[in-house]
Amino acid sequence: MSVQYVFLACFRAAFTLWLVVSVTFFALRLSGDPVQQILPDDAAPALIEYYTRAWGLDRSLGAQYLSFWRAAAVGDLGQSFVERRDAAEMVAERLPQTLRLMGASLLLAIGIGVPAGILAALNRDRALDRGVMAFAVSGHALPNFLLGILLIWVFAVILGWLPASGRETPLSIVLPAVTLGTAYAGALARYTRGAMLEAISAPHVLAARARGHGSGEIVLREILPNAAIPIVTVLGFMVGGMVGGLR
Amino acid sequence: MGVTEPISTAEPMVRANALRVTFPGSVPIQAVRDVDLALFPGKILGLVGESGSGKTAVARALAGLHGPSVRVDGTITLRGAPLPCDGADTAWTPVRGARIGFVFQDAMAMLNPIRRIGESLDATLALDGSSRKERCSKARDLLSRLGFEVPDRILRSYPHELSGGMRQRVGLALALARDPDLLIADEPTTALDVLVQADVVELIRAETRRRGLACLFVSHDLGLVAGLCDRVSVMYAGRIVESGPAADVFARPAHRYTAALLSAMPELDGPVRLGQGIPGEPVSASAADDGCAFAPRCDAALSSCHSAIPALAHIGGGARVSACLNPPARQASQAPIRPELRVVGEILFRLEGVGHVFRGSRPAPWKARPELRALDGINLDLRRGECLALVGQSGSGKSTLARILTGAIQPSEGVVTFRACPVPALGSRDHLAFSRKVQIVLQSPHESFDRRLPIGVQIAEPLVIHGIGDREARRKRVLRIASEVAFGPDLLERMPADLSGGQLQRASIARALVLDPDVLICDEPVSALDLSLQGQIVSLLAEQQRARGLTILFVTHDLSVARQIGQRIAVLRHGHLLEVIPATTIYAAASHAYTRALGAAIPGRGRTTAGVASAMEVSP
Repeated sequence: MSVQYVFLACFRAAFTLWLVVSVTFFALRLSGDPVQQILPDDAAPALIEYYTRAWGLDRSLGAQYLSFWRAAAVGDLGQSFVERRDAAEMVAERLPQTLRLMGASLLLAIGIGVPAGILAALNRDRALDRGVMAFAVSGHALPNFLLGILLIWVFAVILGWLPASGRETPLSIVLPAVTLGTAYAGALARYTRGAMLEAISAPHVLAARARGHGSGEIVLREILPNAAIPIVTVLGFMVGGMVGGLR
Repeated sequence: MGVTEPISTAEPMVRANALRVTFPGSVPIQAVRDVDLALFPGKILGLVGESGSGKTAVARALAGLHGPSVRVDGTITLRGAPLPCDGADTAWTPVRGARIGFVFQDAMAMLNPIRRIGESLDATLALDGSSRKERCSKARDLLSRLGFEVPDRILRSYPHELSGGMRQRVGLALALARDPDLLIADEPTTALDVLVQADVVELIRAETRRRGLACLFVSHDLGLVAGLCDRVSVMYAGRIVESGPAADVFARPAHRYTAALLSAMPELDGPVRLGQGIPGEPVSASAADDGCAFAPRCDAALSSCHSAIPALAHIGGGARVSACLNPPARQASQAPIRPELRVVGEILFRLEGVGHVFRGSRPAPWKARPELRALDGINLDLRRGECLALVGQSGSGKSTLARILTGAIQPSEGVVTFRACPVPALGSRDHLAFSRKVQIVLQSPHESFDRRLPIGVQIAEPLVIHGIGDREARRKRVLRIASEVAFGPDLLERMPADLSGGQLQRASIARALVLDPDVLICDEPVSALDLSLQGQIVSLLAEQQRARGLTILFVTHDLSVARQIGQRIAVLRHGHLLEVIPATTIYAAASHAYTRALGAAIPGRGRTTAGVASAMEVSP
């Protein structure tokens, strides 16, 4: 079961990757000739001709597609049109920062969002629930640029506790991580609350109560693990969104 | 308060006095009113009632399972010590499970789907603090005593890997794991097939005797209770209306409600009788407070019945109590014998070599799709004017067969014809004309209707689809059909949620009949209904069959209901048609041991239930 499952998951991942790359490859070409987009409008025809040849854009689209995959297979993603540098290198030098920031925001989102959701669900329709959910909604709704600037203003400018930018000290990551993490924590709290409420009303929770399990044990054994399934699904989307920078 | 239970040699294990359960709401609903119960060691008390009678509310009150918002008044004592009726929920924690075991109706929903049976059982045993090794051997002992031959395999299984009967035996194991004094079983076999039901019931009986437990067995099934319980209490609208030794109560009911319920019960033996329900709908405890709650449905109600609530009073030798001002005569009334209906109509449906295989989705791209054979080599005719009852356990393929007749499923093998033409597939162009002649009534009345449209609009919908009549003509036709099925015209404006199951099933039949079809296909139309309503619906269908010359295919798991409505009974097992026999003489005509077992396993029908299931080697 599990070997088969892993194999199937890898197969799906590879298929998805191929699909995304191919669609991106062809869709970008629908928007016109890349040479004309990059060179100035008044570029000489000879210049256009030169770059078209140099970049291999004179070949058929199919041939370009194949040569892209051939190079990609050995780790060569070609050159960035914008910066004229090796694209793979550029990704490699930025990825660690992205991952560090993502990891920190994700930890924050899970560390705040999940417990807040659990607390809200266990106190359904009471003041605590309403308070937590009000915070969650505003956290989710507050735009990054506003929250980020507010945090810089308070913690970097007024109090001077934290650096406003750069990555020189370990503290540098705090403000960006809080900015990103808050929004995700808010969304995660709402999802967690919903999943918990659904899991709480499951009949097997009543049955566990009837067998004499205490309320803490019931939350840990009967409710939380069952509620985790939708939460983990949502987390998957969040990680994807963070890497791709959707927010 | 009121009457105390008769003096017994043993002290009661559990005693409940003046129990009241009140559910919150803008108008608080008193679901249980002044209920007194006494349960004795080694004895089973049956608590019988229809939906809304408050029987489950009593069961949950005894185990402290009502949430904090529900108010429970009265006193409950266990071995003489009071239970924390009015206390906080945490006060119940040491009582639940340890002193009181609870078995629920839906065993699948009651087990955590993501935990193996062993994990759940171990966690429950761990509450009493013992070493892992002790718990393991205790779990194995428990399961093998409950009829599992390889307990280790069960311990490693997830709930979905077990059959319904196995799951309920696991539910029983969990309830008994901590050696409670009181076992409460709330409709534990309602979701199970009759053959499996017998096994679980036998286990409950055996464990009650062996452990000297007090057992409260809650059920709507009079037959089951009659065969299993030592004493029985009958509930109606939140009150106990009659109590006594089970055999005695069922032989000579002392309350009009009990008597009416008993005569509504279809029989397996003797002459086939007409279906007979109790008029009206079961009332819940929120109904009016002035007089006997059953009086509005009672054909022998006196004027005093409507003005004062009758108190429970001793009758006979003192072993019984009843709250009836005009108790029934000694001999329970019986429904009239059904006149013989000779069917010589032409063949409407013909099935030749019909088989069907369901194919699942591929577990992996390189794997074959899993196949499940639902039907195999079915040859069957349905003649104009007859009612053919199709009987079988769940998984026998009876619903698949019904769907094939409607065109909803295209059989993978064989030919199905309606009037010598192939049955058109649902959604095809020809299906519209076909559906004018063949209509369907489904099991769950609440799920058969759109929640957002008034019932009258939905009954008229087939007319709109088929473009019959103008608005005024349709309105008249709906009114006429509603009166034919005794569906009050004032109810046509209501939303489905405001109607009871019985009313909705009438509406469902009205909707099916509004096109004046030749054939009605009914898939378990009475299984979701209370006993008092089952008879009403069965007799309504029989009436329509007679009056319109309607042809009916009636799918049911209950052989006694099949006998009550059908002229012929077709028995399905594992997708094979075992036999087709006339309804009048099941036992004489049933050549197949399975059919006899199916009948014998229906509890309390004068036949022993013991050992039937094990003898038949039932697989799900």
